[in-house]
Amino acid sequence: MSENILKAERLYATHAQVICDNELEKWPELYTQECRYRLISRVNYERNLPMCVILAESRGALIDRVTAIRNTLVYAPRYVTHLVSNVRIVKQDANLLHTRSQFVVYFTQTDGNPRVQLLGRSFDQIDTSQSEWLFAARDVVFDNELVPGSIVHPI
Amino acid sequence: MASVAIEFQKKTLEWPTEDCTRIPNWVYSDKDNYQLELEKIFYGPFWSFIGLDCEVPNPGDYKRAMVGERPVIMVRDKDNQINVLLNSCAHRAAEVCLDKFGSNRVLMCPYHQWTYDLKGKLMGVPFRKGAKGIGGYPADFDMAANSLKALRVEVVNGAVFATFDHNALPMKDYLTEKVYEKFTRVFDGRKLKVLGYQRQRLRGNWKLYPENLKDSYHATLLHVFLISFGLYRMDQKGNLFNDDKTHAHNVVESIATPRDQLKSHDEMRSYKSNFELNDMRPVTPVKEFPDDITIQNLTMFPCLTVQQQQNLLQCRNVIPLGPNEFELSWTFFGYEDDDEEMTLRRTRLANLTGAAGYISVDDNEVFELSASGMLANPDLNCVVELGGSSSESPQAGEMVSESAIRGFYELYREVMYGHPRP
Repeated sequence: MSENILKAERLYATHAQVICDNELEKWPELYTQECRYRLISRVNYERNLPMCVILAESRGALIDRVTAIRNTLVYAPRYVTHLVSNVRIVKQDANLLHTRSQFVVYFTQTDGNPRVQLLGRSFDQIDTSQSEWLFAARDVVFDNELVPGSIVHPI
Repeated sequence: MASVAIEFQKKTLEWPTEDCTRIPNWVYSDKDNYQLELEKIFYGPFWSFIGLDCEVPNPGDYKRAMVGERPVIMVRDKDNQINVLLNSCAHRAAEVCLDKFGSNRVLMCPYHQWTYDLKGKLMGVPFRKGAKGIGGYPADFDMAANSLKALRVEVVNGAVFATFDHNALPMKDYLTEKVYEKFTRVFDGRKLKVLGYQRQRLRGNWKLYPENLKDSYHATLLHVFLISFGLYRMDQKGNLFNDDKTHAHNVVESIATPRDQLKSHDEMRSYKSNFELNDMRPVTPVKEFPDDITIQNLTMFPCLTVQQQQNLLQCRNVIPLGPNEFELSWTFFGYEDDDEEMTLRRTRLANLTGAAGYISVDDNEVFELSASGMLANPDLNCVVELGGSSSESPQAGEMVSESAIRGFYELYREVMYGHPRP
């Protein structure tokens, strides 16, 4: 069990690291081919409303998002910093670990002070069938009522 | 500061042009001008979007909303009427409803428990006759005069609007026939279903948002996502028009080229797509409406946009937060009779819009760029001359024009400063 939590924490840490280091191309590689990724407000999540800020239903869709961030989206330059904590294992199946975490994302634009972009909780599933663990599903649920500016980078 | 007020008065007399081909930057940042906007526009004879009536399905259900900077409550009463009430107790001005959504038989202020019925009428005040027979309110205390202020409400096929001005035109006359027809193309009388919300806080003046939706110029220049992925043709057919009366309500509609023609068409070679999507689901709509219009942006003065982007339906409401910031409030909806597949399709298409939208991020980022320039250079003017100087609807087929922005400012100047229309 303690080995599992360490391994899960490592996956979360890598996830944050590739985004904060701006190595976005590595981000989809942390997901299974058939993964499901949702970035959704707490309001919608708790009212069972389907609308997400991001809905991706495959690793390919995550690659598409990276392609857009790199090539088509127009946005002001920024740094992002993710702080992830309280990683917990909620439930353990044969090849699937149900986990959750809490996070804060800060962003810093040119000439600006760092601002909180999003904060909240994530409810996730980790595929443990291979030696390298991957996210099979993520529901990233943010508390923010109003999101400051735009969300350019994945959370 | 009197000097600021005088400076401001002077400025309003000095719109840089007779027509609206120039917009002075100070209208996007001046504090006094902003206060005047609240008074003349947001609290004047113009309609604000409040929400959808399906958000409060049962008597007693309420939802918080905003008109300008004033919090209001949308509540369904026992007669099944939708009321919009100022969310401010008549006693000490406290907000009466704190929950974003709620349901109750009455509306009770948490501070001193003044209690109102669902139409806003004051029903009870604690210690009205004092305690143990001593004190209390005067015998002639007027309960009726201390109700929650009720706004005028009109519900158009499920979309709820309110205004503080009881003399405002009915919605159909307000939008005029032509624009109303497009409004009721989306709000066609079918029961609605909310699919979710998004809210963003953007640094810029509130007018930048409706102007962006009125501006067909930027679409193919700024939004390269669809073009780069070979999903859009620059020469697609469309139509721009402004309402006949004020020119301040506008419609931009276009018809997307079917995907198969898009790929085979020779002209596309020059816009050859650089990239291919791995997952096409977020850009795979189906025909839903009787006509072939794939994108319809309807902007209603002052600042509501109703957009149909293929199967994605949204209200984008702008709520001012001072001269230099606004809330962009998205209500995504479908129809009650949508099957699961349609709901999923709408949800997938939403990847294009909202806080992380493949298209919307571009817009929301450039507002902040415009805003910084406007704030720092109040004495300079914006140039809005594309398509000429008038605010008449462009001729059929002319898809690149700024006439709708000029139309907005012709009404704006008239309302704000009594400036005669050109």
